[in-house]
Amino acid sequence: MTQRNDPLWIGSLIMIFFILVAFFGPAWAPNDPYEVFNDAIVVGEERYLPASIPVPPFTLSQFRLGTDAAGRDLMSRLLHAVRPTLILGTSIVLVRVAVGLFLGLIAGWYQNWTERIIDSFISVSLAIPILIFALAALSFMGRRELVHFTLALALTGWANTAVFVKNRTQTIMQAPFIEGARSIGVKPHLILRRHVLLQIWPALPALIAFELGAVMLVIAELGFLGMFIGEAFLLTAADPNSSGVITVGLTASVPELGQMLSDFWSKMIRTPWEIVIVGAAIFLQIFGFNMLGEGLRRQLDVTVPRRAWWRRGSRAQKLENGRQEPIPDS
Amino acid sequence: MVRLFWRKLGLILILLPILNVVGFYYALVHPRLFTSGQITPTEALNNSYSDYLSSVFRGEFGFAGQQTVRAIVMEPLQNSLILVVISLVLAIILGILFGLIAISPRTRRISPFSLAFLSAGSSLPGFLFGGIILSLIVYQTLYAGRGSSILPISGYGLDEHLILHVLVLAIQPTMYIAKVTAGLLENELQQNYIQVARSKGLNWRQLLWRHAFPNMLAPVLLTIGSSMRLIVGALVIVEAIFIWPGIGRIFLLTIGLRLDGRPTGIYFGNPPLIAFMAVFLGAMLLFADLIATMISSAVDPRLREQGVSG
Repeated sequence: MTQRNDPLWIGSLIMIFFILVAFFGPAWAPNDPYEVFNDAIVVGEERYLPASIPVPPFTLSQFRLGTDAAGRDLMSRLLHAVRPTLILGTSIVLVRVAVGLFLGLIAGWYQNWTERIIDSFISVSLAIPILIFALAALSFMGRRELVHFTLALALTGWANTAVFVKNRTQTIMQAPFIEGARSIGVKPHLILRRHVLLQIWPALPALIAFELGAVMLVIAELGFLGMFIGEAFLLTAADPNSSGVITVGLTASVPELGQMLSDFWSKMIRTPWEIVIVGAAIFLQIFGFNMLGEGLRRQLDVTVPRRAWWRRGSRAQKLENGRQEPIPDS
Repeated sequence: MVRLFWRKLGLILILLPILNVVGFYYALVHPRLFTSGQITPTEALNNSYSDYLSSVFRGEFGFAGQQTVRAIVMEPLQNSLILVVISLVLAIILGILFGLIAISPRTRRISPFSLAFLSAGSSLPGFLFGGIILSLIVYQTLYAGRGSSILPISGYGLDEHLILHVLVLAIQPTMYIAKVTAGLLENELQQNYIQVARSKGLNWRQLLWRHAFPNMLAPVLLTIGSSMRLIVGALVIVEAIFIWPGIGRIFLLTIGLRLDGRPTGIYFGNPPLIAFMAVFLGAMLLFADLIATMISSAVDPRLREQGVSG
């Protein structure tokens, strides 16, 4: 009874795709993502003016996925957007996991007031919804750079990791080898590093993948609410009813996936394809992270019988089945 | 169990005043207050915490503009609580149900289809789902030639209004609870006592309901706290999408975010209002956690023992 680990394969494929786009996307982009196409493009009878009327996807070979609300090439922006989003998510998760690992280990090791203090920090952090905390923190800091986003999302976000690491540490502490290490006089920090940490290590990749999925979700929600990296500026257009200028929407110069979902309603009317395409990209990314995490969790789950993929051929199978040796009693 | 209850309650009673003070001072030192010109530094300092406290004991909870915070918050509070409670109950019932369905009786593992479904469901941002449904309804109304939409898309009402709101609010916690249930159940079904029960010849339903389910119910109920966290986070977004007159919209106003780009108004950075928000949102989560702990230790005697000793 062997079982393939499909989630791991699906998740890895999606993630490899996104990492490739993050590395080479800017080189593949057909246009400059910042350039607003002001000139009219004439194809046969039709005249297109991307700057005032966004071009839908698959109409011009120049803009495969159409243009966004400001008249910029959507495909180029999408290809450029993956890298900053991945950097943002990764830096947040690294800070979260590092802090959570450190505090979790300490809280798991010491059974005294240190544990109580860290425990109360954890319960305070868990008492605030992460989205609401991030909104308040970003509003408080005023500026929206990578550092501020990392602070806002990591300041209470470490608690989940810390709870996990603390519980694992307390389980490992019951093991005989810890007692052995203690009885020969190994220093606590060395036990934590050489024995406890090594036991926690294999669970970390799955944890990081799940955290990445969760962080991407929060980044998308923040973007939807208008909190994104980079300068925001108002998009204006000529008012059809009078000679003035009206505000059409809000957009940003730096392409980033969360930001591309901001100003949802105006985009829904003017450029619905942008919402659909960017939404699909974000969904695929979060799905990839979740699948990867699930796959890694299964890979490390010892209750699933599994054989390595290179031994799954019919011949190897026959060999395995033919060999019916009785298990010797020890 | 009683001791555990009092200890948790004591922690809540310590945490809530801390949240209150932090919220109040957060509003006082918020840098954008002074640049937006809506409140001067002297005015902010006059709005001192002792004044606020005496106002709290009078039952007014401070002032925002001419109104008391109590008057501003009373109605939205009820509206939001209705949404939250309905979504939470729905999420728990549907989540456990999905989790049970996800296990295949033949392999006693999560079936691949359910795994894909649950992962996809928990990867879908709620606002994207809500926004796309909303715009489909709008397009249907505009182009299908019917005078009215099939579901009301905005505003307040305790009828069909609730359907979309609750759907969007409950999707994330439902998938979360379903994943936790399925994972725990899969783990539980590998245990030795299940093997024994199977060799006795019990069928799948008896196996599930009499043996596996009672053993994993308590940890599932413990996740009510985390589900509440997801719901309260999504509440802000749902109320922004569907224009539901609740606490989440007031929260967005207090931190100066408006999706329609109009001026932020007097609620922006109002210290008593922000302090109230912090306490209310914190209290919802903490009490949800308390209730979850109580229920799960009521259904599982093992947790009761732990609670007494710990």
